[in-house]
Amino acid sequence: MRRAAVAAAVVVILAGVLAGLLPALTRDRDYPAEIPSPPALRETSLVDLPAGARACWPYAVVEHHAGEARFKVTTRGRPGAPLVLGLTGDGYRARVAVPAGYPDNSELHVAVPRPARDAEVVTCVRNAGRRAVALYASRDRTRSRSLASVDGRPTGASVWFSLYEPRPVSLLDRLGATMSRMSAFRAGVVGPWLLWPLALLFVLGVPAGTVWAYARALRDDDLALEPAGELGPGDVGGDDARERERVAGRGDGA
Amino acid sequence: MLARLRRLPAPLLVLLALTLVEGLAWTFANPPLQNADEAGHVAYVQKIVDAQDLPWRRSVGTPRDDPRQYSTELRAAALWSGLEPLRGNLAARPLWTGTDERLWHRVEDDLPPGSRDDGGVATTFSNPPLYYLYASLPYAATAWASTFSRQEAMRLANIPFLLGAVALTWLLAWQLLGRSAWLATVAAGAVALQPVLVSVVTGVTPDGLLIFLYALGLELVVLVMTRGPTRRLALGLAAVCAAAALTQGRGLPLAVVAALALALSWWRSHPPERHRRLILAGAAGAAVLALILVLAYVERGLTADRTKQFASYLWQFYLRPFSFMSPPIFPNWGFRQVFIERFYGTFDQFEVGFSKWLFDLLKWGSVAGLLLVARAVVVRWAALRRRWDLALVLAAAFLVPLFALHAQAYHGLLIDPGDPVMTGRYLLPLIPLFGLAIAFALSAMSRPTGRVLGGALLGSMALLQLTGLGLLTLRFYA
Repeated sequence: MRRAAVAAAVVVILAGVLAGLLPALTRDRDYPAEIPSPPALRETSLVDLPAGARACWPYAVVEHHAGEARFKVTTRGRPGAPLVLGLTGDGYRARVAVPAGYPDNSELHVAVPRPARDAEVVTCVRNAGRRAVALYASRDRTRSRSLASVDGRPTGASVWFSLYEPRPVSLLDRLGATMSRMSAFRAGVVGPWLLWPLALLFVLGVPAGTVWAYARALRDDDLALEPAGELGPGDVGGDDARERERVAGRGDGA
Repeated sequence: MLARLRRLPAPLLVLLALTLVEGLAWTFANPPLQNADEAGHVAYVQKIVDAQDLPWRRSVGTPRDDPRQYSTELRAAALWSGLEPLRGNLAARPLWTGTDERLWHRVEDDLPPGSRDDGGVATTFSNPPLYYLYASLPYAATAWASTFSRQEAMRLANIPFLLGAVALTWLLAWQLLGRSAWLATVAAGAVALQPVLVSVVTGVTPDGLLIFLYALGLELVVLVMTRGPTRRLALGLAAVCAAAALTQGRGLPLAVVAALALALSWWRSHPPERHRRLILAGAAGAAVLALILVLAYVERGLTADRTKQFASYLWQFYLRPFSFMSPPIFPNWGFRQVFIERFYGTFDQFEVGFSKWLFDLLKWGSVAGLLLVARAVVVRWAALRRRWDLALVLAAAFLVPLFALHAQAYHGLLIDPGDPVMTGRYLLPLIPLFGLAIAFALSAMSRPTGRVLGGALLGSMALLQLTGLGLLTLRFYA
């Protein structure tokens, strides 16, 4: 009986891990490398980019897994004008042309070279066409530290801008990076050296500890039932309590 | 210390160890400032320590998203780490490179003097100060460190509350359910593995202390009922009730439960020889009067229409409406949203949650669980009748805080119909009763069935715990 009870816990955990958790861990997914300026939550703003104008914003970091830049453009119903995306920073420089003709309100995915190491860059988008476009941006509380200016004039908005890995990868592929990312903006002692063992303890220790605690409790109860036990003053019963009564000769176990 | 620990039952020790691991894992996996109102709670502590001011006030009119409620340091930290744009924003990720940290340190080094104590009036300042005074200790002890280290220290200081709640649930089940280790393990395990509990308590929040105080209050109530109303127990219970009320307004109902326990215990140990009916009638009259006063507060003035609307709100929260009922003030917010989705598996700003099919499973599992508790009441009726006073107090320990939550929610809806107020996090102080109810239902089954079901249930809870942290990891880091 004790074995069946412990087996029930083990079977449920194994079934859940195999059916739900492992696939989630190993499934390839579109993976962000860094999102310097996320989309707005409630209120979308636009940063106008007339023909020939250039929008720039500082403090974007091109993380070393990045291979694709994304931003969203409105063309006011007409085919999109050609754009040039530039990323310039210490030891990293990229200049990529975006051909004309993309649809209105489309998120542009622009391949950029992977940096050798994380690089802080100034990002610029130049309108190389003859028609105005506008970049999606945030002015609400989702506004980032990277505020855009157009031809040197501040806009007070952060242009939605994100950097993704060039190909889908799984969380399992990025476990090392995840531990490192988790330790950013934490106390100095919190680093991968602490997070790795903690993650292992959590993933293995929580289910194993649960099963062990239950098995041990069942065993302790079975052992305690051998000699006569005593009922506590607040008992509202239970098979074990009745069993103890029976063993103690004080009840009929009904 | 070690000798004392060795005296604890081994299953409890293991449950406490895995609770500690969970607490640390959630503390470090969840980015700073992402728990509900976490920045506001940090602002409160900062006001106490850095501005040397106790900012507790009766009402606060600050809009929830007004950045002026936070100090210059907190605002700058939230912006330069990407944690403010991240809040509730599924498309955002925290900034996570060493370069981002270096950029922040440059800003941090240039912060002007007074940037820690210039925050305005935060929405959290309407909370009583006890928790914040407690959190001031780890905050002040790490005053030399960056704001993120100070926040981490405050988060870590909440883990003892989690451990306390688990240990007290064990103790309650041990005392109430026949000193059975497996039932105590199921009860305490259901608490230890509940993912929303761990998620909430490992943020900077007074909820952890409140949950612990409720568990402690419940244990004292049980002792009062089983040992009689000794002066020490009564004083201890009064102190815990005062502490709960000074932690959060939601702590007030504990005093009602404690008063009921003391009264029933006194009645049991000193049964009056004369005027018994008169005393009972007086108590009933006082209870009715108290209910009328509460309704008058809840309804902002006692009217028949409002009483009808309140009753209709309560009915529709749990059950389908009758044709003659008008729609509730905040529609589509009831048992499923609060008791299932928010209670079992919605995290941070509610943007992280289990999938719909899992919530469906949890809903039907919970309904089946309630039916099994009802069955256990029938099966254990003789034992419950024998200790009807204890059973009544335990029922009140669940129903009084729940009624208070509904009352406050309805009161709030009359002022702001756009906020349903009630959420699953508010049910967490009742979590020892959740564990006890599960163990009680199992205790009324045949031993083999109960034990196998207990094993399956603990396995499911362990899975929920893994799934919760897994979802959080995917949301923020993938």
